Amino acid sequence: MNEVEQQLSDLLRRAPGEPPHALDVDAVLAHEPRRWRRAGPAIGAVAAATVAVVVGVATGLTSTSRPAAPPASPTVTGVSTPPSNPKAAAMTRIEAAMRAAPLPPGARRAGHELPNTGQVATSTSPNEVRRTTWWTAPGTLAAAVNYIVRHRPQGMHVDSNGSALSKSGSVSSMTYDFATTPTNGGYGLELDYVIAPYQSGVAIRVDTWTVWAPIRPSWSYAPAAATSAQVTIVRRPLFKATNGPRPGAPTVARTLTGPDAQHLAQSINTVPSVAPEGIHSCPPPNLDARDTVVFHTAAGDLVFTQTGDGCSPNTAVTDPRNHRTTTFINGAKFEAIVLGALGLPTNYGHQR
Amino acid sequence: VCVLADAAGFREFVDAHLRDLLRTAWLLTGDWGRGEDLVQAALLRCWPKWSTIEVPRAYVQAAMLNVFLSWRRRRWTDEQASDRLPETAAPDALGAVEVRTAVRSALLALSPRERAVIVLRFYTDLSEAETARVLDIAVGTVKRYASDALARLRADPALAGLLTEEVPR
Repeated sequence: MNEVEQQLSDLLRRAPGEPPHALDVDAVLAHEPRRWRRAGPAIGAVAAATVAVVVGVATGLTSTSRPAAPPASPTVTGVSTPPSNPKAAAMTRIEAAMRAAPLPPGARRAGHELPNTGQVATSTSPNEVRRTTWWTAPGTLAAAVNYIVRHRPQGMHVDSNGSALSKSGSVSSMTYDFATTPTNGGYGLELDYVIAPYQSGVAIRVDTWTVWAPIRPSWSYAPAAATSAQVTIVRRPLFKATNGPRPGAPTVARTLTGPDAQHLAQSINTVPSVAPEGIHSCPPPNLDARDTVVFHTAAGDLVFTQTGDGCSPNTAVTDPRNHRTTTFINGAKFEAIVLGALGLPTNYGHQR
Repeated sequence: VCVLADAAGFREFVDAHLRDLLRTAWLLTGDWGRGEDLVQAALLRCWPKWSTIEVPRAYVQAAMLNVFLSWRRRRWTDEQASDRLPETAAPDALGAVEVRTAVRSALLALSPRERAVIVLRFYTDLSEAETARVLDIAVGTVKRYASDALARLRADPALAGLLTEEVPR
């Protein structure tokens, strides 16, 4: 290393300081993403209710979401109760959050978009719902930011912050993003600010947004009266490993009957729905990994197919007789249940 | 039993290396929150195959770099992450905040691949060949990225005074 490289190396070692947080190893071990921040706040039906409570506390408002009626058929146990209209419930939450959003004293609503306030966080999900308002306020950029941070709604933490620089190097805008903490793999709610110098004061853009999980259709629940369940686990390598660990494992095909099939049906029925993630960057898979469960009943079959690519796995449910398919069921949870039902390890197929 | 043993080993690894992984992730992302996301995403990718990984440190590091380079979306082009307000921050006695701010802004001005090369070469002390393997690029490409990035870091006003060339006598 030359002198400059050595100095750079020293700077890189000094610069980070100490990490402020620890990591939830249990979440990794459970294969539960803490959050899918870039693809949209990771969300689930159970947490949607949690968010409503958090915002309700912050705003003094009562959530208007109503518990869903249970699926008409078949009998289901252990299923969480999402709102009957999750999109409307999500809209209610972001409206409530907007009303609770702190603004510096003297802030006045602007009827139009204000300059230098266009840099906002978004998700890729088509199920994103968002409310945006613009405001002007007297005072400096720092005073506005300090006020907003100090008065942020209870239950929300600073998720990220940053500043944009103009070509001259001065701060042209600052952002502060607040978020609720998703629980149980659920979705959070964001309250985002962009604050920019404007005339003699500041311009403030406020966004509240979340992603709503669709209601899982009643027909997509595994039938409690299933006479048998045909389970197939495929872990076929897509590439020849040149060195290092070789993924893949023999295909496992087994038929569960009686109580075993019914227990699997009950377990799968606890899997919540998730929002579609939309188009986003995802690394290519190195394994053809598929889990298929076909429940047989006197009324026909119901097919669960997990073909996740490891980045955004969702489980498709198909009713072949009636040509119906839904795809937005949490694939990671489904996979864990199916592997567990066959007594296979959670890393099956990822071993040499 | 195998899974339980893997879990114990995995925890042991995370306990031993988390601090360094997070610091590496901070250098790559300039933000502790995103750094945590990055480390977790890498660990999530590695955990299912943990029992097959022979050199966990290198494997997790490579996974982290791959995840980082797959994060193409930036929230806006001129973002400069900051954990302080420009009008209110006061320098600490040791200048740690200045170093942190200068290094972060200089690294964020690099392309993700240049940043990855700089971090691997000068923070994790990988050789050019090792860096090339981790990033799955040619050694010559590593040299080019490193050379371009070093030139830009030297010219970065935020690092002025922190990187000084040895003057030949």
